This record gives sequence, C-alpha cells and structure tokens, in this order.
Amino acid sequence: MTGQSIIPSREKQLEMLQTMLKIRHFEMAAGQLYKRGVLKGGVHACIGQEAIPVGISAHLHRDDYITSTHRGHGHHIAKGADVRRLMAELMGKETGYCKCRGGSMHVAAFDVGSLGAYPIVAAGVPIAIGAAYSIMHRGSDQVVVAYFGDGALGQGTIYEAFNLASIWRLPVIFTCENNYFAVSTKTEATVALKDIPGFAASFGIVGKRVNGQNVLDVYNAAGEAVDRARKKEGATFLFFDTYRFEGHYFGEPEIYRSREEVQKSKDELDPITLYIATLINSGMISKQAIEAMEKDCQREIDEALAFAQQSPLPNPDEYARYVYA
Amino acid sequence: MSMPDKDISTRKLSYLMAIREAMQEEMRRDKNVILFGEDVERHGGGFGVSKELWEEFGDQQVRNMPISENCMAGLALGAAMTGCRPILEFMFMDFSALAIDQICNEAAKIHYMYGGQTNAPIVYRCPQGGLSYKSAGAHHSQSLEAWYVHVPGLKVVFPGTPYDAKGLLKAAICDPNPVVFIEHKALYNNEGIVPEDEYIIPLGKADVKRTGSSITVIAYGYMLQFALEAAEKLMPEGIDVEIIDPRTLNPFDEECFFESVRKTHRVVLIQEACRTGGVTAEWGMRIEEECFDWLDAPIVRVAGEDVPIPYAQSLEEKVWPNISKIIAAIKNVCYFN
Amino acid sequence: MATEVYMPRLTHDMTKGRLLRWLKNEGDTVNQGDVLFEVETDKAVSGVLAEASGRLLSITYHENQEVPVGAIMAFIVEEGEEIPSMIVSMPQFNAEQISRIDHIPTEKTQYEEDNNQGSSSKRRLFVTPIARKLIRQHNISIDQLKGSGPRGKIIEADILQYLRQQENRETVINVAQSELEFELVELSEIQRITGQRMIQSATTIPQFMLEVDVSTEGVFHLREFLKAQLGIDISFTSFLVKATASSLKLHSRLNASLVDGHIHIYKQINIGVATATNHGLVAPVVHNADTLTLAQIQERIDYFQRQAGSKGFTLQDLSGGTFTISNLGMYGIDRFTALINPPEAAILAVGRIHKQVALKDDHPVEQQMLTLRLSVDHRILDGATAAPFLIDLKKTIENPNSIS
Repeated sequence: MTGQSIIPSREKQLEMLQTMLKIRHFEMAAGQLYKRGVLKGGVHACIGQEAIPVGISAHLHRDDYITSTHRGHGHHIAKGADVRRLMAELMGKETGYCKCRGGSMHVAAFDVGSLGAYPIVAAGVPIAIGAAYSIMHRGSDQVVVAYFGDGALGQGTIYEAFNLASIWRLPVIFTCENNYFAVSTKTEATVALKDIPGFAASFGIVGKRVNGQNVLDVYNAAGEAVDRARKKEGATFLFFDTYRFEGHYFGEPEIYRSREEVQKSKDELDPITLYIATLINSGMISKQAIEAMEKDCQREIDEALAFAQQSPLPNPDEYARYVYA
Repeated sequence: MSMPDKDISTRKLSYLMAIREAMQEEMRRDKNVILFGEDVERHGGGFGVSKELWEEFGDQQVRNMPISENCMAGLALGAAMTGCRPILEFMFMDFSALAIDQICNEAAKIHYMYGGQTNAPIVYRCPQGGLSYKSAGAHHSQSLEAWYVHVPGLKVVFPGTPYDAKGLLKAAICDPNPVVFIEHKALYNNEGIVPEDEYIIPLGKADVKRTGSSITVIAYGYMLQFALEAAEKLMPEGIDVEIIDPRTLNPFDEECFFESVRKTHRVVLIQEACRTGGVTAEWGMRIEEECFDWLDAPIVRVAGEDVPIPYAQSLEEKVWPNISKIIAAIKNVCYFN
Repeated sequence: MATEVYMPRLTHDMTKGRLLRWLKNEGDTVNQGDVLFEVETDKAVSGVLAEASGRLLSITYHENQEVPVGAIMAFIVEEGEEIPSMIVSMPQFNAEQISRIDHIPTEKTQYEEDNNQGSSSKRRLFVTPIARKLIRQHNISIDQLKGSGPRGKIIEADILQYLRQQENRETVINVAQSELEFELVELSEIQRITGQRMIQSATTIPQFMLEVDVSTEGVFHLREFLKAQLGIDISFTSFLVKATASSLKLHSRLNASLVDGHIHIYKQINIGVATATNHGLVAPVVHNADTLTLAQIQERIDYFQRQAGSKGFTLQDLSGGTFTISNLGMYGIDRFTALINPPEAAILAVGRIHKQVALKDDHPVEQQMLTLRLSVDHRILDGATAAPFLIDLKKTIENPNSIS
C-alpha cells in the first residue's frame, strides 16, 4: 500500500462493523430461505466479501452511484439500501425495490444511488462509465463505483471502459472483487495478466491490489480513489483479494475446491472476525457491545423477513406493467 | 405542438437534412441531448448526417467515441439513467450487433426489471439497408429491424420519408424509452416536403400513404418507394392499392392494418430484410388472427432472400425485392393473373 | 346383381339434370328399353330407358329434383336378387353435401376429393374466408355460386355479383308485391336456361354489331323459278341458311368458339335456327348445312316447324350448333340486335322484307330489301375480319344463282 493510512473515527468504525454484520445476517437469512425452498431462483451470497463494499461505501454520499453484479446484496446494503425492500424483492413481493420484476440478481436501489445489479458479467461497467460521463456533463462532484468480479476480466467491455474512462478522465472507481473463482474456474486459468492491477497503468489509470478481507485496508484504498474521482483527477482500479465462503450460488456443489480450503478461509480470512478482533484489541468496543450489535442486526433482518412475508404478491394482471416508461 | 399542414409548406429537405434538423432542434431545446458515435464530430458520422452539429454544440453535446460499440451503448444507458438523453449513432446498423447486450439485455429491460425505478431515454440511430446503396456486401447492407422488434421494451422506428424522419426522430428523442431509430442509407438524398414549423409525429402511429380500395400493401423504409411506384403502375389495370407505412415497427399500429384489411380484404406485406423471421411475418399473422373472416385471398409477402447480402450487383438485385416482384404479388392476390 | 338406375350424362357439359317425372313407379315391373323417367337438361327433355328388366325398387329421387350425373336413383331387381345394402346407404354426392364437406372436411372426404380433382362432380370447393362469411351472412346455398378465382375458388366478387342479381330480382318482385296485382307464371326450364345463357352472353362476351341492307329481289326471282320449274317451295329462311353456310365456308373464323383462351374453328358448319316453342326459345340445328341442297335444308326447316308445334326437339336436334340465325321478319320487325348464343362467335339477326326506294343505274326504283345485323364476339373477331363475311353474304343473297 502506498499513501498514508488513515484511521477512521470510532463512530465510523462501529458503523462499518454494523453494516458488515447486517450484510452477513441478510445473506444467512437468504440462505435459510433458499434451503427451505422459499427462494426459487439463483441466490448469490457475498458471505466472506463484506468488507469491500462496506470499506468503499464509507466514503460515498447517498447520491454517488454504484453499478453492481449478480452478487450484489452486499453492495446495496453497504450503500444504504432498505433491507426490508431488498428482502421483499428476494421473496417476490410487490413491496420489493423492483416491484419484484427483478429478483435477487437484479436488485437495484435508485433511492440510494444504486444503478442496479447486472448479472451479465461486466455489463454494469460501461453503464458506470455512462453515469460518470453524465456527472462530468452536469459538472457535479459525484463519483461512480463499478463493481465486478475476477471473471469479468475476460470481457472486452472492461478494457473498452478503462479506455474511455481514461480518455475522458471519468470519476469512476473500477472495483474488482477477486474471489479467485469465476463460478468454478480459477482466475489464473483464464486471465493471462501477470500483474492484474498493473494493466491499468497502460491506460493511465492508477491500479492497486488491496486485501479485501481487511476493511481498514479497503477503507484506505477507497478513500484515495474516491478523492481522486471527486477531484476529477481520473479513474482508479482497485483489485481486492477476497474469498466467498458459500458456493457460486446457494446449493452449488463446489466440486472445484475442498472443504478444508473453505474451512481454512473461514477460520483465517473472515473479514468480520478479523475486524472484531482488531476493534476489541484497540479497545474501541466490548464483547457485550458486539453481542448487542449482532442482536440489533438480527432484529432488523427478522423485521425485514416479517415485512416481506406480510407483503402482497404482485398482481398477475400487472405482468406487463413497466415494459415501457 | 400542433401538426403543421404539410400541404401548405413547400420547403423541400432531404431525408438526411431532416434527421439533422430534428437533432439540431432537440439539442437546442435540451442540452442533455448528446450525440455519441464514431466520427460524429467534424466528419459528421458515417454519412455526414451530423455535419455542423459539433461546430454548433461542441464537445458538450457531440462526442466522438472509440470503436467500442458495446461500451458506447452501455455508456449511453448509464448516461440516460442519470439525466442525459443520448443519441447514439452506429456507423452501420450491422455494427450494432456488438452492442446487442447493452441494447437488448440492459436498456430494453431496465425499466421493467427495476420495477419502474429508472428508464432509458436513448435513441440508437442505425443506418441500414442496401438497394441503391450498392455493393457494400454482407456487413454493410443488412436490414436488421427484426432483431430489435423481437425485444419487449425497445421501440423500433423506421421512417420512409423526410417528413416522417424529422417528426419521428423528435418523438424518439423525447420518448422515455430506448428507441432503435433506423435510417435507410439509400434514402438519405431523397427529398420531400418538410415544413419549417416545428412538429412531432407520435410513435406507434401508422400512416396511410395512399388510399385505395383493391388491396392493402404494408411497406416501410425504402420499400415504401417501391410500393408507391407499383401502385401507380397498377392503377391503369384497375387495381387501386392502399399503402400503409407503419413507420413505427414496434409497437406497431395494428388497428390501422386491421381497418384497411377489413376494407380491402387483401394484403401484401413488403420487407427488404430476408424473409424468415421478418417483421412482416408477425404482421401477417396478426392480420390472420384478427381479420381472417375478411380475407379474400392468402396473405402474401414480398421479402429479401434468405442469404447474406452478396457483393456483385447481379446477385444483389436477385436478392432484394423490386417493383416487378411487388407488382406480381399484388396481381396474384387480386386474382389478376 | 341388381342393376343401378342412374342419371346419365346426356351432353358433354352436363353435370346434373332435372328429374321431370317418373314413368314407372316403385315396385313396377319394367322391361329393358322402357322409358323409366324424363330428364330436362339445358338443351332438351329426354326419356331415359331401362337397361335391364325386373322390378323397379328404391327410388331415391323425386320429381323436380336436380340429380347429379352418375347419382344412383333406383335399382332394377330380378327375381331373387337383393339390393346391396352398402350401395343403398351410400350417400349421394350432391351440391348440398359439397358445401357441408367444405365447411367441415373430414380427412377421408378431403383425401377423396383431392384425388378427384379431375372429376367435375367431386371436386373440392375452395371458398375464401370473406366469401364464407358472406355466404353465412346471406344464407346462400353454395351450389348456386360459381367461383371465378384460381382453381374455381369462390371469392368475394362472386358473392357480390350473386347478391346483385338477387337484389335486382327481389326489387322487381317487391314492387310487384307492394303495388301491383299479378299473375304468377313459372319459368319453364328452357326459359330459365335461356335466361342464364343470355346473362352469360350479355355479361361475359364483348359484342359489336355490323349491319347491311340487302336486296332480296334476286332471291324472290329464284324462289319463283324453283317453284315453277321444279315444283319445290323454298322458304326465305332456308335460302338464308344456305347462303350463310356458303359464306361461313369462306370466312371460317365466324364459325368458331373461344375455349380456354384458344379459338376453335369448326370444320362442320351447323346452323341453328332460332325457333319459338310453347316452352320457350330454342335453336334446332341444320347440321352440315354447307353440304346440303336447298331442298334438303327446306326439309329440315319443315321438320323444325312441325316439332315446334308438337313434341319438341330431341337432344340431337339441339346439339352441335356453330352459328345461329334469328329471323323476326315474320313478326314485322325491321331490324334488331340478337345476343350471341354462347359459345358461338356470332349470330345473325334478320329483319322483315319490305319495299324500299333504291337507286339502280342512277334511277330510283322500288326494291324488296331487308336488314341483316350481325352480332360478333370481339374476343374472336374484330370489325375488319367480320365485315367481309357480311359483305360476302349480302352479295350471295343479291346474286343467288351463284349458290343454287
């Protein structure tokens, strides 16, 4: 890491922990719903990857934009989306963010600056570029975070977007969450780049490899990138190493990795466990306070579940609503 | 905005100039209307349609793009969702194939899959077709409207006259949905009356280009010219052709089709695009579903052949519809053979 | 094996016949050669003979019914024979069934019909959707319609034409019903058929007329001469038939028909002579008129006169005409236009002989004259090709010695 490490305020740090916990509890609740057969479609959980959106969003304003992916619940919760409406969307209810036309893979929360989740790999990246262009056009100081996974490095669109972002000095933070597997395929098997963040330099864009399991590292790297974007000094490419503890989706057989490897990662790389240890060691929070915080999160997710369960299903007669604006 | 009487105005404008004027008026009205595309600045785009616009509006509203069609389309979508009204020029419609993900998977569905939270007011300007635009071969002559008509959420517009081109493009730019706006390359130099007064033509409304009683001919784009010529040639033989130009291919004005067919009881549909899976197949089927009991003859299509567009002119001419093919089809349906 | 009694095809283009009456009743014993029933076709009334002896059983058609050609109407059964039940129950293929089958085709009938495209009585009827809708709407019987579309398809125009015809008829009837007293007279079959043929003539044949005034002085003198010298009385009509036949021989294009876009020029010259009967107008034919002598023609014309007043004509008498002469001179008509008798190419209308002042060697003289008016099918001939025939005929009549 280059640059000076900034320690966020205690309030900010507790807020980050709480958001990470909220994401974790939301995803675990979704896993339960999937196992009980309530959720029918593919649900891609980000358990293990919570630190990245949380560390980034700590710098974002409500009107800053993000574009997300199929693994997008965490991006949205970190950006401030209402978990009740997210849960309702997953459960196919009319009160969902997308009136349940979208579902888990197409969550979006325009009220907090999300431009939506794009499960077609890399599709959200040029859209982020467009939002960044719009910011330039309007002359505002907003920024855009384009989330994508390591699998997206196989898409030409990514490089087209880097090219344009550089040419027009667009206020965008390219955020690659490298969880080492594109579904089942290891990154190194399909990406020839020896130094992945290094390729950005060829486009004149600052590229950085960051430990995505350490929320403070994320926070620091994102701080520089967001600052650069706000000042119209150009785009940044943040390449986060992370690990997903669940399969590609709930119920995926995971034949490409061993249980031992997963367990070892859970033991050693859980961003929440690591962060709690840091916070307790630094005396910022007590164990009791953390338990209380976990209870708060659980209550919030339980409320979200109750809200979703009580919400009405979409009216089948309105199947054609929203085809045209 | 009232509809000016086009019979009073005498100003003639080419199809190309009508399109330019529509963009110019909308860009003056709203600085969020931005033209993106390859070579759209000084060069004026692939066919010179946007010439002089960069000089007037500058980088703020006219931007050259790298040759990255999918990224261009994604950029247009991101900009559209955040307050801009992009016009994206594909140099040739054939190249839009590279951007189909952003057009069809994303822009077309964005309003629906996000439950009305956002919308995508984008115009994709797509020069397509062949005919008098000759010997351009397989990648610069195709007619691809059917690809986009098949996608719910997209609107597809294809004007056949300068008057319609201007009025429809203004409507497309103002529309809150993504609109594939097809321009026929061979029509760019065609002139027609375009009033000086501002006007707009609502999307989804067909136009009866010629009233007649013997048969309904549905033709659009360049095929409209052929249909009109064929109608004049058939008049002395006692076949009085009604010509409908749908103008908007999706959503199309099916009531206008039905009304005409209920009057004439006969239909010939014409498309330049290759036959299989073409838009006329859809229209013919709708007519069959709604107007079966009014038909006095089978519904017949005149269409391009199911081949890639060849290079040699002798092959090209074989592949495309022409006036004699159209006349033969009309006579056949009118039992004149 | 029982012998089938069926509707015979009596003329080439006959598809059905009207059963006028049975001369034998159900259960009667009949002998081979007995007249079983009478049939009226568009040409004449004919008796149909028994082909076997035995008892007449299972009569399935009744008087005044239209019977398709080939339809089984009864059986002649010998002692000990049985009527095959399968044949008895076999449905007759009549026009109503055609329309029914057309509406709800079963696979079997459709297959059979498709395999019988050539047979005029079992062909599949094609009807366009709008035509079907109009047929249902106006409750039209489909066998009254003739298709003008491809493969005889019934199209909208056919229905509209039919409805126009009906409307005209109904208008006349309505006026009569509401305002006038009337006596109801049924059309005879001949009158009905003549009417249809004249509609065909007037609506489908583009006809033009040529007219010449002809001096009959020469014919008058010739007739006098033949009567005095040979003791035979040749009527003017007979002479006209002979003269016409002789001119047709030189101008064969008038002795022709238009068939499927081709002109058939006939080798025989068979001249029909329009003749009024109690049942209506017919045109009995002087066959091979060009080969007959005036006396032979006169014999034939005399026969026509006798038959017209009594039994009527046989099919043979009425078949095979290639040109028709219509003479209204005896009714005092000066000149008139006759409608072509399809499928012939022309018809000659003959007016009365009357005295007229004419110039002869620059001196006014009184002459016997008449007017010939020729109606010609413009699809087969034009003025330039038809005129020489009429001029030739005029010369022949005016110089009759050339042919006698």
